[in-house]
Amino acid sequence: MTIQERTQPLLSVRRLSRHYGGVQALTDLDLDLMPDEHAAVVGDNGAGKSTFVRMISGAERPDEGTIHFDSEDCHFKSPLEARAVGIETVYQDLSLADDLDVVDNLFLGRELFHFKLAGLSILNRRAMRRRSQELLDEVGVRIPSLRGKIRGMSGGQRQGVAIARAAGWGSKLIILDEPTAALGVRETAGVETIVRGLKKSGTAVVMVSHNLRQVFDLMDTVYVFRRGRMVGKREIASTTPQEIVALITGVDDSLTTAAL
Amino acid sequence: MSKTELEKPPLEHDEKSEPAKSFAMGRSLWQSENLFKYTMAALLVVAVAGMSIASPDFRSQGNLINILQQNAIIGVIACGMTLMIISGGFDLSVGSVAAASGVLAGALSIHNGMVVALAAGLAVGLGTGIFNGLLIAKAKINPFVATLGVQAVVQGILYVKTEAKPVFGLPQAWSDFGFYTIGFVPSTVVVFAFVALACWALLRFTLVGKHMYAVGSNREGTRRSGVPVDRVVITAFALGGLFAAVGGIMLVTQSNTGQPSAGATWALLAIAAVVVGGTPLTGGSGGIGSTIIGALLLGVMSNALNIMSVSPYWQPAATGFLILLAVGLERFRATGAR
Repeated sequence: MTIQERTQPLLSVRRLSRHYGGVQALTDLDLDLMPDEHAAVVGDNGAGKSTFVRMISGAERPDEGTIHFDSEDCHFKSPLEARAVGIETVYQDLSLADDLDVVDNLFLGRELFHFKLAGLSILNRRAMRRRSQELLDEVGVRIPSLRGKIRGMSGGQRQGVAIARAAGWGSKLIILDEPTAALGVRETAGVETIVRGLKKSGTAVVMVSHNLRQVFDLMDTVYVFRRGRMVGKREIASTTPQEIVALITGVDDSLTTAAL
Repeated sequence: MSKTELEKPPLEHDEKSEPAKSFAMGRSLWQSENLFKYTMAALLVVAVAGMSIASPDFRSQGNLINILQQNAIIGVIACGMTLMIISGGFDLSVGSVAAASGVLAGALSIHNGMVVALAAGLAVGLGTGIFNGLLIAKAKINPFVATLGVQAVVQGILYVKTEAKPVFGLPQAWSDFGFYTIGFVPSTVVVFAFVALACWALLRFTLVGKHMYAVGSNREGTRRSGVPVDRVVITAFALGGLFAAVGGIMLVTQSNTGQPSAGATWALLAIAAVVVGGTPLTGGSGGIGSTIIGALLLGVMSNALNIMSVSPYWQPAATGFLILLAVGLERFRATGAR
């Protein structure tokens, strides 16, 4: 599957750098992401994946470099600013309120009202419930009861709600931080189905993952990070897991193949 | 491996097996959650019914009204406490804030009229509440430490200003209100009902109410979702302070004096009422209905012990027993639900 090279990139970062104290976490990162591209970000621990993701999601600011998203220069001071331009992040801990039900979580921070008066705005629960069902259907998440609290749900269902919340607001890019790291086999399959659904709806995805099987099944491209630099970009269609492992570890291709 | 091959099987998995399993899970949770709520309500019904059968004194209309009236003040303060606990905090300063509000309102009413007196009394509560909220939300001080400090400061100022003496000679208007009844319902009970209704509606229907649950449930996640978390916390403490002031002013209508030493035990009693009702101290769940049940349960127990001529020294022990029972049940529910 090849990306349409003639369209404008959705996200381009140039010379992005970040250091923590004396540790250079990310050095001169250049990266272009096409609209509707599903890109995996892989690399060892400390390779700079998370640093990169935190900067495009607005959680951290780069020391140097530029972020260009949807034809605009971006200087995010918070995740809310990133979200305002259409970048949604599904954090590993999901940011769901366990004591609230599905509807209340899907609309957390974006409630619908009967009438607005600051904190005393009256919630339009019926409208939110109706819209929630549509939202979950669009994303392909199956939840038995919209009134069920998040606390009582399985890991896969939680992840589904979190992704539906990220996908449901006309967002252009969704960042998934190891979406199946804590899930069992069946639940992982469910979440992967949801991610495939995002491809059909044309939403770009950046997924941090340690699971190469998943990367090869779901993604279009893979960006390999090592020691704070991007050491390679590959099209999934024209690469092999062996090549990616070699890039991740920095060890010669033939040696890695022997090790596998 | 090609992509199309993998696409089908997971879909079927998802459709068939997942919902059935989790539906059962959702139902048992629903049951256990309500079970707790109804346990305390049932306990209240059993206590009232049992005492009514056993004691003619208890079941007299006068005594039942008396229970409501005696617990109206703690009830009002507990309503505010519920908002703060749901948001993930609590307030130890409500007692001294109530006393300060009552004394100030009482003192001002002598020369400045009732309107100024009431406004000033309520302003003390609202102001201290906002200050508590700022300490907790903005300065990130733990609610226990912040409100303990504020409690001591308010009490200190109050004792200095009054020389720890009650304020006497208040206008008759105070008791006129305090002993007014609508039908057979005392005015203080009406105030309690009104405050409870307002807090219930706030939690049930409004944006800030929903956000109180969200903040108490997952503060950082709620912040990331774009909710102005600090403002929600400050609102909860502001209302908690305001209702503490209402409680303090209600006390003035009962005694017609401004009593600086009043309210020493109120913070813990209010927290007890909330916890006994079943709202967990960890925040995120619970409600006003539970708090009313908790407050009435404590009130009925105290009244029953009086009627049975049990030494008043047993009161705190009995309250403690109820708290432990409630917390034990809550633990059982929380672990059982997982």
